[in-house]
Amino acid sequence: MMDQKQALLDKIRAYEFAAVELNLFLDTHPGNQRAVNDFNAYAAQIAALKQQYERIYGPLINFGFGSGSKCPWQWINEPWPWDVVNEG
Amino acid sequence: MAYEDYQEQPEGQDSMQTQFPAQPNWQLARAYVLDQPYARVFSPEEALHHGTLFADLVMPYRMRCQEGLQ
Repeated sequence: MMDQKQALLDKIRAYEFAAVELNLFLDTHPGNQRAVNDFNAYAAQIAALKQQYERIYGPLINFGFGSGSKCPWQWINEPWPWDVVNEG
Repeated sequence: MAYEDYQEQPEGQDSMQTQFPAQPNWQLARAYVLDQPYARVFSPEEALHHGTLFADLVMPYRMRCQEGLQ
């Protein structure tokens, strides 16, 4: 259970890093169609991964990524997303 | 000092160039950055591991002893 949660968080981190790298590349190469395509694909993937994470494990940030909160309020449930320890 | 002061002066005149090395055709250091191609792109997982999305930018610092050098 925790391994899958960790794996999903790691995947979100990896895709976000790739998106930032493409962000920086595109800042200086704005006409590169392939880079734009890859950026858009990663951005969509990140949004889907975050919604998947929140659906299963609760909010990643206080406002969430579109999935809202169940009652009782889920944001105060531990561990915080940044406190999930990678034991791998 | 104005930029013009560094331009070539007619022979025989005192020149500010005498403050530079004796070879008058030498130029000061120039910095350059090559245009980066969109090529050799890692997967997101590999990119996070290497610290860059681009294989061409992987330039890890290594201890010399790890490479068998002295």
